[in-house]
Amino acid sequence: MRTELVPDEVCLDIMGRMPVKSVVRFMCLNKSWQSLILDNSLYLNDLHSFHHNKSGTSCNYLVNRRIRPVLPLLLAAADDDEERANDNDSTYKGKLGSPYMCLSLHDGRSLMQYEELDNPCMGKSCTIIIGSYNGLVLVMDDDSGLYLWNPSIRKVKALPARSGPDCERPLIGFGFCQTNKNFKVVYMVTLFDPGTGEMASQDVDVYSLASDSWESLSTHETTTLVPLGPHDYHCHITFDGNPHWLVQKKEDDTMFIVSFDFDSNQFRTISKEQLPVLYGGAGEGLRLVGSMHLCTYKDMVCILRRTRRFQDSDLDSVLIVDCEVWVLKGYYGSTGSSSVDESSSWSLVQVLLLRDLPYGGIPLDVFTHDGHLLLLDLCHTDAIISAETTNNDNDDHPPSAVFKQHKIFPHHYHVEATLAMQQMFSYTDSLFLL
Amino acid sequence: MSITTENNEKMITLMSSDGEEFVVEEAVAAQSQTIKHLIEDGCSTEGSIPLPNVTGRVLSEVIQYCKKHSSSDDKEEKELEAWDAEFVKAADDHVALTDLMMAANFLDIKGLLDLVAQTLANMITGKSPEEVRRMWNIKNDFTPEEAEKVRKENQWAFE
Repeated sequence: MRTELVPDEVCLDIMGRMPVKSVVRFMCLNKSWQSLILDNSLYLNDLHSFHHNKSGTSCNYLVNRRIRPVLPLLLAAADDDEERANDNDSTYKGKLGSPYMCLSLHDGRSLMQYEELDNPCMGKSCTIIIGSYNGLVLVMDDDSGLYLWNPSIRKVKALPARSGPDCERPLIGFGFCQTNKNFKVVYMVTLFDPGTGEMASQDVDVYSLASDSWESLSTHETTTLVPLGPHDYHCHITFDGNPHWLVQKKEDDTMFIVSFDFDSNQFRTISKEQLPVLYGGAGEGLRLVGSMHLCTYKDMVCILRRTRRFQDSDLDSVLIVDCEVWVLKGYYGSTGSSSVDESSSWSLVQVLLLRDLPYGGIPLDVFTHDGHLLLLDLCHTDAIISAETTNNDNDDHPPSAVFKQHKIFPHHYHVEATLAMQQMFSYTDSLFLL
Repeated sequence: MSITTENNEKMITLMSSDGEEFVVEEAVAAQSQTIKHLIEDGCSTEGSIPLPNVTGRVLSEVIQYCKKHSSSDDKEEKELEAWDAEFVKAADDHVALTDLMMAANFLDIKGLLDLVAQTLANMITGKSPEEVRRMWNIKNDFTPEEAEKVRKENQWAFE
């Protein structure tokens, strides 16, 4: 096929339709194939990208060509029984060299596969996934070292150290600048005066993969944005190439979503509209405890609101665990536009009654392309549950879910402990970093 | 190949590299962006349009595809998909498919290009490099040391 007569674009078109594993394997066909693939890995990356966005809005980083109906998912796996018994550390955070797992979910339906992956942090312990976008995953080790990882081709790159100070709860974001096809990381450190509690200094550094260096930005914005929860809490997503966080203003505890635009290097507040309230009417004798998680649902910014209801008399009795899926309709990302569209608004699209599950499930904060939330089965720790909702155009009554079990893990896995802390992220296959 | 002119469609003549002539409705031929542009530039007014890169055998297959896809705009998508599947199955082997792919590329027929590229991709996805080299007559020009290095760097892809 790769003779003088066959144009490169024909070869590339065919390779763009193959799994990355095959493309990488065919680098050893001969030298011209190798250089063709290496020279065009960015272009091939576009071909590999696919999306199910039927409305055709946002996510313009993807070429509208569906390659494979596969959604690989990434999560941390716990260790086997023996190691677990030797480890009584209650702050179970994963261990040195603990494997990652890649799950492939075909069309949100029955077939799920899993594959173990090595710890990308080059021998360092505890990797937390900060974010995932366009095929690359940003992970952090115990010493705040950052790594860009492409799990589909097993390549990893350690980021150089920043020169600025660090703090306990930095705001870290990951994204992709579409104009120059460059991955970027933003790292904001806010230091407070221990005496007065007021903000003492704020540093914002931006890393660019193309130049492999950090650049310090002069900050003029002085809002004290504190990420809502630790890194593994799912308060950060990358949407339309730019990082978005669920944050809390330290001054008045108000919660909102901010984004960082990698084109203009500026923070922006998204959605002036009130976030969906966390604590609603609980009903008589019931107490509500809830949490909010930032995710992406069908190419929309989404807040997954989990509610646990307790009987007032017995706080140990979790009566009902519900999940509400709120999406920000009318918001397509903050790139390029000077102001955020005021017409965007929150609407409730799904209510998942986890009481329908015999032993409950932990939401993993990841939706399939079809909009099915994935949960960990608390009864069978070797299974993942997808919450499938039927299509329903009636906005007044969001559809209820049908839970479907996918047995995928081998029996010696005990995934629940880690998974409860370390959530799942989705990524697409790509050839970046090849 | 029978040619119908029942709806008084304007006919044009295409000539393959080996001198075979095909008379087709303009709407059918215009599915090829390349031919469409040639028609717009007035190339079809004097005799036939020469297609120096496509043999008669391949061109007849391409025309078969274009006919089907120009006449079935409103037809069931499923039926068309089934027809497409049969069509690439009939092309049989990777050599015929490669010829078809080259023609589709030259003639710029997106649907056909997608169909054939996907078929070829499916065909070679699970194959080893050795098998693919044999299929396409690719000469391995790596030295044993170079080959070993490429393989070692991406060992996981070979497992």
